[in-house]
Amino acid sequence: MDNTIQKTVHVLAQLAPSSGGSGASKSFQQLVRSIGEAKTKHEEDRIMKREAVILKEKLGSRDTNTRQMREYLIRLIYCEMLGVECSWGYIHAVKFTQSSNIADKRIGYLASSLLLHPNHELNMLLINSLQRDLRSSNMLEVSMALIIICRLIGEEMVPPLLPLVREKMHHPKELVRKKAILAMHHFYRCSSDSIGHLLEEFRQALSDPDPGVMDAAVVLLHDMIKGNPSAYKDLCPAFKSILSQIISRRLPQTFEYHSVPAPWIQIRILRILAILGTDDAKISEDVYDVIEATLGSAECTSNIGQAITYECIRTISSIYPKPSLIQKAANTISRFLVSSSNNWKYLGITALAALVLIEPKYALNHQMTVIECLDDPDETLKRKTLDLLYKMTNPSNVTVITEKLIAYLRKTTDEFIKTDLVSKITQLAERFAPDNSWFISTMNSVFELGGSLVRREVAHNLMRLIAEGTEDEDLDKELRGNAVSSYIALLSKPQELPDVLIKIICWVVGEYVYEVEDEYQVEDVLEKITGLLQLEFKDIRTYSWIINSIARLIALIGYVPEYLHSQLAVYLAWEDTDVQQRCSELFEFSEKLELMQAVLPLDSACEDLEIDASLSFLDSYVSEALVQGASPYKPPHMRVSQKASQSPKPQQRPSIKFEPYATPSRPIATSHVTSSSPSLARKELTDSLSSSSSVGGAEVTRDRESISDESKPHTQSTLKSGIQSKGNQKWSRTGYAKAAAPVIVDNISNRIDDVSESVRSSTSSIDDIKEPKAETAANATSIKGSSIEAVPQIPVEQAKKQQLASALFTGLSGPAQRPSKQRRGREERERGSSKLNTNANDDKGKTQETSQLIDLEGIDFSTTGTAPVAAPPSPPPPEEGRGGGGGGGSLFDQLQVLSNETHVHEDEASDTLLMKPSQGGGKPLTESSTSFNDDLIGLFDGSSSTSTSLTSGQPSLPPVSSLPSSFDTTTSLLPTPSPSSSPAPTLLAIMDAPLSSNTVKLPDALNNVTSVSGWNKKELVSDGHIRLSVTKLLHPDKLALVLTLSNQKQAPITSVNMSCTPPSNTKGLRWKDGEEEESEEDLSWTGDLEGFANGTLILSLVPKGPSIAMNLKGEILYTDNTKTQRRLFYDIALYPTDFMRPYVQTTPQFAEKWGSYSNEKKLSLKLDSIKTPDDLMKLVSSRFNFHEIQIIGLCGVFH
Amino acid sequence: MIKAILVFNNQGKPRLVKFFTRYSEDDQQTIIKEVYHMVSKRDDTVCNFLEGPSRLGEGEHRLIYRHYATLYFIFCVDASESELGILDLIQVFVETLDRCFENVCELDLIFHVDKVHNILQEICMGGMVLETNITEVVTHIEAQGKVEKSESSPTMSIKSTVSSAPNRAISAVKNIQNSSIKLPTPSKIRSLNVKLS
Repeated sequence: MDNTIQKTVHVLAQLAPSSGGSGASKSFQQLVRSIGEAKTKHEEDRIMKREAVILKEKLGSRDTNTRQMREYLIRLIYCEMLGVECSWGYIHAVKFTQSSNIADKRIGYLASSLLLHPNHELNMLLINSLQRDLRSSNMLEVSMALIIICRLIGEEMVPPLLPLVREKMHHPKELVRKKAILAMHHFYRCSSDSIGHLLEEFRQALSDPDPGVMDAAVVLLHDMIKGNPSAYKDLCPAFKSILSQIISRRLPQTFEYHSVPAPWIQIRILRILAILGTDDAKISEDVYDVIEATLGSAECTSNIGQAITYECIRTISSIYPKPSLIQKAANTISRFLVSSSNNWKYLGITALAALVLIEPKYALNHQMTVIECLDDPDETLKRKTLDLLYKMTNPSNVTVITEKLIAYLRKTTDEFIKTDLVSKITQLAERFAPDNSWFISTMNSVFELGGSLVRREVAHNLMRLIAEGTEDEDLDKELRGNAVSSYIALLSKPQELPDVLIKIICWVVGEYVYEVEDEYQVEDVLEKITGLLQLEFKDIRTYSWIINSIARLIALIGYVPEYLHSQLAVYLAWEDTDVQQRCSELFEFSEKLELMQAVLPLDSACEDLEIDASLSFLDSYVSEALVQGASPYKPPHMRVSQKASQSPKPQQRPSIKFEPYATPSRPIATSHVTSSSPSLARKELTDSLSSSSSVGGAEVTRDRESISDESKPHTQSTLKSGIQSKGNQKWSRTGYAKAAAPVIVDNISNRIDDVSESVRSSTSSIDDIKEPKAETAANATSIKGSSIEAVPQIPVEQAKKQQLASALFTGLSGPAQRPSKQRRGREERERGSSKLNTNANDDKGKTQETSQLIDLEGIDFSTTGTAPVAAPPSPPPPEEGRGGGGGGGSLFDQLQVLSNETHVHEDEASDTLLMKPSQGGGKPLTESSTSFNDDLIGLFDGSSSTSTSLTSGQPSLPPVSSLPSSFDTTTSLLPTPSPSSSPAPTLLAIMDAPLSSNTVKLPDALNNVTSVSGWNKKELVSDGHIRLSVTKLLHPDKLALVLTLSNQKQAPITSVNMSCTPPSNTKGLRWKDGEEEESEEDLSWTGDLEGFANGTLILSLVPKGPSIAMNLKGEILYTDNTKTQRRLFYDIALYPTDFMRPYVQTTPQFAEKWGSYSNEKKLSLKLDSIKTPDDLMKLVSSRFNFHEIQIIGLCGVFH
Repeated sequence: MIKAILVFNNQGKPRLVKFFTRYSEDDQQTIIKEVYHMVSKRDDTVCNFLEGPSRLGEGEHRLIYRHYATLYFIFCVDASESELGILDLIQVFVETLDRCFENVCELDLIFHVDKVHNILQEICMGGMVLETNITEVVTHIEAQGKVEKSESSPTMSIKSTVSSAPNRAISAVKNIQNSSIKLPTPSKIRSLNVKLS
């Protein structure tokens, strides 16, 4: 073809030597010719560069006339189209837009629109000419400006142009109106809120006399509706009537295309109806008839008619389903599928894929067509068909479909398609796998074919599946055996395997090679694995996996083969430190093989490694350091908050020294100062330690995230309360003045107190260590003979598994139920443990309190007892012979029995719970035993929420309250009764009670308190399940916040934990029992919410210092009815006015200050206007901004 | 919306490139190459829709194309456009070109690139379909031509008769080499339609 052009051009050049034609000068023709002749890309580039140089010179020269300039600009466009950068020429294009000659202007605009882009700096120069042209009376100029707006205007340039474009929407010419609306569409795309206020005008445009303008409005509204369907539901009748008018051929003939009336408008409106009708039964109901009519009127012989038919089917499948209409749509599909045109087949398959999602049976009629399409040479069609197959997969056909998909994956080379297929196959395999060995073999082929494209979690899932297996030991053995054999087989061609698969192979073979010991020699396997080291990997961490595997195999065979030393020596100096470390570990271990075997035991993948996240084994070191006078560790957030609270009023506590070395004091073991007025410094200490120890206590949960999140509010609140307990400071001068003196006295004694406190908290952390064991024991007994999850569960995965479980249960017959049973077992396990976790979590804060009560004898134990504990991850040996601990030890056994029984006899179990204190030998309760209580309560909660009524728990309470006083703290561990529930104490959490009424009963003290306007039940956050609202109440000395959490749905929500962190300059307190009293504890609420039930957390915030911007942050964690863990964050803005109260001062108070402040201001008053003291008061107050205190006779006291 | 309109010949030489969404210079060139690569190896019997290269951005993109004699007309669209609707829009565009240039050929696209762009602007604006009636578009284009002519100075009008020489030359050449370079005549296009349906 190029030849032809060249010839033509040649002929042309001869025919028209004088050039100057519209865009075809001689030199331009030569250029086109030489480009055509260019053999290589390189040559072409060279020619274009030369052309660019010529153009640069010509465009810059002064003696080119506008006609030539126009041509040069077109040549510039040509250069840019071929990929030569000509940014130096853009300015000429912009200059041309300002020309008065319309042809020049047009070229200028055209060149600008093709050369510039919306963020180009030269665009600013266009604004002026655009504004002028929009105002022009020449319709052509207006049109050009509108077109250029669509191309080049970015978000920041919308405001200067919007009013002008808006005017054009009422231009007399319909073409301009149409373009103006499309320009509006561009503005909408730039920033969706820029044209929101013009909605009314767009509605009017819908009824424009010209159907073309209406079309443009439909286009614009389509995108606006797509952004927010619910806001435009009222437009539905308008669209409906437009569509019915179109199909009844009311539009002028010019709007017909191939004798179909306005097909593009029809398509657009059908799309809008699909969006509006999605999940909206009412609107769908309204549009059924018009869609049916459209479907009926669409002819089926032309392309465009079929386009409308297809659009109808799409709409029918996305709106609220109507069986008869769906049936009709399904019948029409055959029109597409039987066609000889692949275009129509393609659409038929796409439409079918949409329909099978609603009703799978429609696929059956077209089975043969689908199979044919699958073998069609047309790639696009084949891919669509695979997509259809993917959508109609169910448990019974999953094997066949996955086979097809894998076969296609094997053939295709396109990365994009591969990625898509890999994710589809993994999804299908995870969703519909009939059994585990099929799953493993399918996943192996996926890893083999597209290993690099698989998400990492998928690989982990696979390994976990192999590791955890089922509850049936024999099956597990077989499964692992199969997996290992298949992997060893794969090792014969390692070069072709992707990194992910190599990692999986290494891990599985390393862990489970003993399962196939009779088939393979471990030595041979080791050799093969070692051989992998010779390969090159993209991910250098793969070597770590290989070395790990080698280590396991060595541990198994019990000696180190000679060749390994030489092979591995390289990796001692490998670029990656992880590889280095693993390698040197291996070498170290190879000296001590017995130790190695102990460290790497068989089948240990599922055993729990206890990780002491709190580093509690360092506590003795820390406390020692503190004793030596070291500065206590402050977590970063503390440092900030401390600064914040300190900065506003540094002069108020001049006596407190924050430098840690200023007053080093040795701790006196016997000093037992009552902590009635703890200072700030002391709280830092406790905090730093308690955060570690309380985390240690909560480690049971194994869910690190929730630990750190929840411990934060708690620790912060202790800090705050520590500061607060100096006395209730009000924002009055007297309050501050009083506080200043006693602090100085307290300071030193508090410091002593600090250190002893720190020692005490380290005691508690030792007690904590026992907890993991207790937890493990509890788990082990409740789940008979099964392994416990080593990996923390990700909620999404959990949901997937549950989906899988339910799918398998409903859809499958006998043999397939095996894996599902296993999976469900696991799921129950998880649920059970999460129950325990949450409950242990809630009370963590309280156990902390308990730990402070431990007697001084506890200190001795702690100092002696810390040493053996210090080596994680091996479980700490139980500390025998300890006062409190001895009792605790026997409780372990007790608990095991208990947890077995709780499933059946709750009452009995709770009785046993009550016996516990006496078993503890009457000694002050230690941390460990209190945490048992938590666990037990957790068990109760779990079971009572499922079946038993709360009365089963009730009888247990009275005895609790009659326990010795040392146990009193434990009673507070029981979930507190709701203020709104019956006066009788219940075991249920606060919120469960107000099932019937959605109103929240407030404590009496808050009943007559006014709320902040605009903050009465103000909604903070909501999702589909829960809604959180807050009311701010102005209590005389504090701000009370009533946080109401309501379940929006019928289904119950479980394990709700709502926590919050008040701003650093306030002290947060929680209201309890509806009493006036406030209990200082962690600011959270936990419990379950039945359908439509409410939960309330009442907080008071007492200000400690002024601040302009304050925020109370918090989060809500809950598990919804699909057992998915969800998390919501909220944020309550607090304003200084929330804390300000009218300042009432009496005359005597004022008298005290009399004379301490003096200020003079003169004011001349006209005496004739003042008749009474009241008049004078008013006048003076208004002129001086005085506040009136009292009027005594003729004397006024002001402030 | 329409993301880009590309026209290139059988050798992959771009003849018309118009992007409605912003891509960097390099991306534009790569997209042109990738699209050519994808489209050129397709048989004429397979369907005219393709899943677009991932370079076009997030979300689902499709290439809808038609192949006339020596030229490929490709529209890159997102999921909100109807496949068959766009396919007919290409037909509208080509038929309009054919009306405006009287038997349009590749050369017209090279030497009258500004006019081609003007026609395109009347059919498609900011990535949205503006006008689908061929007669309307032709009327607009003619009206514009008249305004431009009336604005040019009298001296220019003399030149314009001279400058029409190459135009005539082009059409002369077209007639000479009718069989090899001509695009399908309207009648041919119609026959294509019949075949499709």
